[in-house]
Parts: sequence; C-alpha cells; structure tokens
Amino acid sequence: MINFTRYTLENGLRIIHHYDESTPLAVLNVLYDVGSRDEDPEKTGFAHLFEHLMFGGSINIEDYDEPLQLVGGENNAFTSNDATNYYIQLPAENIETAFWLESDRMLSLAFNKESLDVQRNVVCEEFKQRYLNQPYGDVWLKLRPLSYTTHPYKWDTIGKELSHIENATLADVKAFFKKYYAPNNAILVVSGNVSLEQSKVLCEKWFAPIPAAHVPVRALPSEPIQTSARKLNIKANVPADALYLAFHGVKRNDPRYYAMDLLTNIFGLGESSRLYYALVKEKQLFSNFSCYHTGSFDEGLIIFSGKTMMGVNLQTAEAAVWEEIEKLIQDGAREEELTKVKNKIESSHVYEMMSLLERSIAIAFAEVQGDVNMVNEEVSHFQKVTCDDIKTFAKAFLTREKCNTMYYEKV
Amino acid sequence: MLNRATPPPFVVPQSFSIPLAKKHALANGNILHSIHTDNDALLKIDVFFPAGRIFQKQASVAALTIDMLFESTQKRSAMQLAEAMDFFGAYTDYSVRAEWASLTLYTLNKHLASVIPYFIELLTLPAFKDEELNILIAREIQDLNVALEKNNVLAQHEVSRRQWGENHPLGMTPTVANYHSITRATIQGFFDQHYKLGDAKLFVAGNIDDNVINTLTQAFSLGKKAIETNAQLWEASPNNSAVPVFIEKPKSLQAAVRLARKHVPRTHPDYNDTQILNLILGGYFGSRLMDNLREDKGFTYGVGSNIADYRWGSEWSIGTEVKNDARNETVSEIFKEMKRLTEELVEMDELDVARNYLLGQVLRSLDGAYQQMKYSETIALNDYSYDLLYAGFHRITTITPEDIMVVAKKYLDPKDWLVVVCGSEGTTSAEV
Repeated sequence: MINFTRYTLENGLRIIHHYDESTPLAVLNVLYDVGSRDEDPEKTGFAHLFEHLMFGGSINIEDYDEPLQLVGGENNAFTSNDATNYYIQLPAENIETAFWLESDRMLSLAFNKESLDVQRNVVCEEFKQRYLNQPYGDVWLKLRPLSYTTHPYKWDTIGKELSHIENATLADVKAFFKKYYAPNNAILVVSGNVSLEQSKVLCEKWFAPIPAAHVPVRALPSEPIQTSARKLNIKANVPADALYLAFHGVKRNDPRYYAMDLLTNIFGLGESSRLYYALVKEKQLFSNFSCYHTGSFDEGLIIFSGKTMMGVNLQTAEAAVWEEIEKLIQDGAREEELTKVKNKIESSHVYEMMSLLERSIAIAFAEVQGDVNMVNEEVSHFQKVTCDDIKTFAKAFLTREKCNTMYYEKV
Repeated sequence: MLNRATPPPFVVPQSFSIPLAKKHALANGNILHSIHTDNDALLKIDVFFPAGRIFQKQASVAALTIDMLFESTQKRSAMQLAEAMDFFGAYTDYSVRAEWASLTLYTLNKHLASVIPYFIELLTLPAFKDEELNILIAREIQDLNVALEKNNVLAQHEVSRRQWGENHPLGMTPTVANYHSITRATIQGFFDQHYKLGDAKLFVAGNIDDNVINTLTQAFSLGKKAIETNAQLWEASPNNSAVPVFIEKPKSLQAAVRLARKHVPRTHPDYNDTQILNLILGGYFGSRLMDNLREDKGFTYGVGSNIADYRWGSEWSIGTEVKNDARNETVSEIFKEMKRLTEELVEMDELDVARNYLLGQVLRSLDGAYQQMKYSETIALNDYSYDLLYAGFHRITTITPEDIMVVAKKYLDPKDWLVVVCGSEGTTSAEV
C-alpha cells in the first residue's frame, strides 16, 4: 500500500506527496502532460527534442546538471507518445536544490541557439544510434504508420524523419514550451524522506509563483476501427527474417485493459508461455518470440513478433502464430494458466514498487490518467479477470481483418 | 522576492555504514548470507558458482552451460519446470562474469517453500539433452549473426581478442564454427567441475524470518563443500599502442570507438584514486568526455568510461558511438582529454562536483536490502575486508588535485591504451 497526500496549488500544479522514512533519499518527479501524440504532423520528434533542451540551462540557472551533481544528485528524463517525465534522485537533506532547479526550468528556459544546435545534433546521433545504425532498428518507424492511419501514434517519439529535427528553429521550440510547459499542465511528485510540512513549504516557495498558462484542450483524431488487413514487406540487410503482427488494443483506462495485459502474458511472458513453447521450443520456427502491448494511454498496439530460424519461410511462421491465436479464441485460457500470469503480475508489482523512483513515476502516471489511486488498486483489477474475459477480448481484437502484418526480410 | 539565482544551501553525505550480512551455517559447512528489510518485499536469492568465463577452454561454454540449466532436468521437461516456477510467480535471472556465474531467484515469501525445490533441481540435476543443446546453439548462432551487424559488438570483440589474446579464456570471442564444436560432453564437463552446490556462495535479501532461513539452509545443504577452484589466470600480455585498429563496416552512419587497458585490482593502493580520475574523465554525465564529445561537439548521444573489477585485476574501458566522419577526431579528443589530466591540475570546483556526486552514488548504493547485499557479495566473493570498502569511501573526501595528477600520469599514457574503431572509411554522414 502506497500512502500519499494529494493537493493542488492555485496555479493548477497538482502535487502528490509520498512519505517514506526508510530511505535516506528523496525523489522529485515532474511529469508534463505532453507527448509525441501532441505534435504537429509536420514537426514530429519535438516533444523528445524538447526534453533534451530542458537540460540546456534555464532562465536563472546557467547549467542544470552541475549544481545537482554538487549536492550528490542524479537525474534523467524520458519522453513517450503520451507524456514527458523528468526526475531527480538525491540525498533527502538536499531536496530544496531539486525544487530550485525544477521550478526554474518550469518558469522559463534560457533558449540559446548554441544549446539548440548541439542538442539537435545529439538527437540526430541518437536517431542514428538507436533507429538507423542497428539491424531492425527502424521497425517502429515502419510499423507505426502501417498500423495507424489517423491517430498521431502513427509516428514514433524520435520523429518521422531526421529532417523534422534538423529543421527545428528556436521559434518552434519557444512556442512548444509556451504551449505545454506550465504548472497547470504538470504533475509534481515529492517522495522519500521529506515531511509533508516541509514539502508544502517548498512547493509554495518555488512553484506557486509560476503563472498558469492557457493550455489547449487535447483533441486528437481517433483511429477508425480497422476493417481490413494491411501488409508491408521490407527488405533490409539483416541476418534473419522477422515477423511482426500488430493489432489495436484498448485505452489504458479501459476496464478491459487488464484482460488485454494478461492475454499478452499468457502468449508471451516467460519460457512457459504459449508462443515461446509452441514456436520456439516445439516447432523451432523462431529463434525468439515475444507478445506484448505498448501500454499507451490511447488505443495502443498488441504486438506479436519474432525472428525466424534460418530456412523457415515467413508464411509458414505466420501461419503457426495464427494457429496459436485461433486456438486461444476457440478454447480460451486454462484456469491454472490465468492464475500463473496473475501470480507473476503480483510479484513483479511488488518488485517495481520496492524502488522509490519507480513508485514516484507510477504515482505521476496514475494521476495524469485521472486517478492516482490506480497505483494501489491495479493488482486487484488483475485479480478479477476471468478466463471468459480473456477469450472475449481475444475474439474481439485478434482478428485477421484487424491485423497489420510486416515481413522484415533479409536481402 | 524569491532569489532564484542563488542555489539553496546543501550538505554533503559524510558517513556511511555498510550493513553486515548475517551468516548462517549450513549442515555441509557452507554459509548463507542474509540481509533483512522490514518492508514488504520479494526475497532475492543469489547463488554464485566459480563458473565464470575465465574457466572456459573454448568460447561461449560458460554462458551455454548456465543457459542449459533452464532446460530439462533429470526429473521433468523444461516446460514443466518453467511452468511450475511461473505458477508461483517466481522470476529467475542469471549472469556470467569473468570469474563467477550467478543465478537469482525472486519469490514472494509466501511461495518460497513451494518454489525452492524446483530451483534446487535446476541447479543440481540438469539433463543436458542433446536435442535441447542443439536448438539452443542454433538460436545462439542466429543471435550472434545479429550481434555481428553491430559496430559496437565488432569493436568490443576486437578489444577482447587483443587485450587478452585469442587463446585466453577472456579473449576468446564467439564464432559460428566454435558454437558447432561444442557438444553435450563439453557442457557436462564444465558443469561437473564448476557447479557444486557445496561450493556456491549464497545470499538472501528481503523480509527474512526464521522460516526463510530454515527453508533455505535445508535446501542448500545438499552437496559437500569441496575445495574452491581459484582462477589466477590474470596475467596476459596486452599489445597496446594507442594506434587505432580500424575495422571496416560498410555504410556505417556511426562509428564505434573503444579504448581499453588492463588495470590494477581493487586491493592496489592506486585503485581508489583512479576510480575518481575515471569519473572526471568519462564516468558520469558531468565528465570531461561527455562535455567535450556530446555537449560541446554534438558528435554522440553518449560516451562512457568505466573500470570493471575482477578479483585479480580490473579493466578500464572507454566507449562511444559517434558520427562516422567524426571518428578520428573523437580518438584524438579522447587522448587530448587524457593528456590534459596529466598536465593541468583539476580545479577544486570540478573535483568537488565529482566527489559530491560520487558520495551521492554511495548513498544510493546503500539504499535497500538488495543494494546493500551487493557489498556483502563483493566481500564474500573476493575475500575482501569491510575496511577495504570503507577506505574507498573515505578516499572520495580526502583526494586532492595533486593526487589525481599522479595517477593520471601513471595510467593515462596513450601507449598503454588499445584503440579500436569500427566504422566506414568510405562514407561520411553527409552522403547518407
């Protein structure tokens, strides 16, 4: 059970305080309710580029990292399609340094051209390192536009193409900040060995003076229900053929989310999972196989993917995957199989929540989706799922006309 | 009016205490180490065998042996074993290092008694079926082929071969032909020699009560304590020269750059000082290499420098992936930064940032039972004393810029460093 106190400042900043006296550390986590799904289709990759610029100095503080390192802290950040999250972990006595740093960059960045030039280069190198200069690195750059026709999940957080980042101007960057980086579009989590009283004083001192901004109401185009299958063949210089099947799932806060999650675990979690056993061990069609979902706030993707063994053709491999999917739709999940994946979820949840940082991030993500209590209630939602729910979900979502298939073949 | 220009006051963590693991005697003479936490937690059980890569006579044998422990046992199939452990929500993990191979079991306290017999079975009764080994090897070959497409892997393999020599256990790199020559007998032989439960180093962290200790001491009392196999194969003859070894990988967008040298063990008087030197050079986000190559020049997404410890020595390495056409400049900038450390004293401000950051790291590394257990593992696996580790903490606060220059001169001489670059000579970033 995670204890917390939730309150809101006058400028709209939502604060959640989580006290843990068993640690000498504290965490300050700031989540901004903006992700790559909010980007202009002609200027993709901005949310992530912006995350880099947040480390380039703020209005009153020239250098972000050094003062934090001086007080024994460390930090990082990540951008997803849905949100951008920044965190600091430091000795609890020095928590005020984190307040000072985070509030100043929420107030305003320094916006200098040199910082933009360098970070544009760094992000371009990141693009190359992770997406272009790796075998199979560009899979998501191909799979997203195949799977989405309309919703902005059709581009990856790194951006559609390098040129969008290369062409980013200082004016673009300033406009993005003004639009999304405001207290009323953020969630602050203060956690660890810091009292509620101290935390309230610090929040009032450092964050209350930051003015609220007009944040646009999110109105994203929704993805139409897919009615016919889509296919894509890619040829690339890779050592083995790979297969990807992508289906649309449900939103993160849909009641059926839990059935979807358990379903993918039955298919793909661990060496006793159905697909690992059937496709890797028994039939030896794939050298590895995974089944998971993207966990997105809006309707995300359920992915089946694997690299085939030498000499196995992709049609045969694909047919074997479908055989397993259809077997589950036909016969449903077994009771002990469902208990197994629920037990796995229970222990992995306990594991994740042991970390103060993971707890802080989980609190912020639950709050931005409308209900911070989710951090404590999730496991019980999983427990309620029945074998029937699994079967019903599979039948509705894993159909051939809703499937996006990608063959990634070696030349 | 709030003054945002002046940083708030701060304190530097000064004293640290490493919780001592409790030692529990087993019937076979072995010892179980435990660290308790009051919080609800999973139990983390670590079993270390002297079965690391240094004991192998051909590449990949240490890794394949531990992989095969997760296949069928003499009592049940791999699927039955996985299903039984998964049913109780257990997670397993494993790793192979230079000297040790370790297996980890995570389980909720309430399922410990149900899960532990399967875990012991996995450790002691592998079947090593030919068919399963062949499938595993076929998959490993496939993975190797993917890995060999990556510049950083190609560069790392070259470093290992040159650093240790191709016939040294740590210098042997995986090849397809080598995989094909590994048989069931190779694996069985390696297992028989190195996986003796009586010799294993045992650790448990989590919410420990008598029940946990009784269950584990009984379960691990199988097998006799034999004589430990110590690996002293550390001396090898590196052939370093600071002249880059170039590997051509056509059409590379980025080049992988690796620098490496063999280094002193943790017990050496210079070791702690070089850890701090390493931090300033390339060991954290505020390091000189990160400033230079990423924040100033934008050549790379990241660069890192690291000293990896083994019992008998350590390996110091620097790695980055940079714009292909910046590869040569990257190497010269790295040497330039090394040289600067040998010629100019580090400013006190810079040293303070590094030292305080490191003290914060120490505090983080002592937070929670799992983290604390790592210290007990380091001590037990290497026969180190607590004093050795405390001396390392203490040195962070006492080291001076002059001390840093002394070790910089001693260990950052370019001729002691091996340099490997993997990229393409033909292309530049502008062409792609």
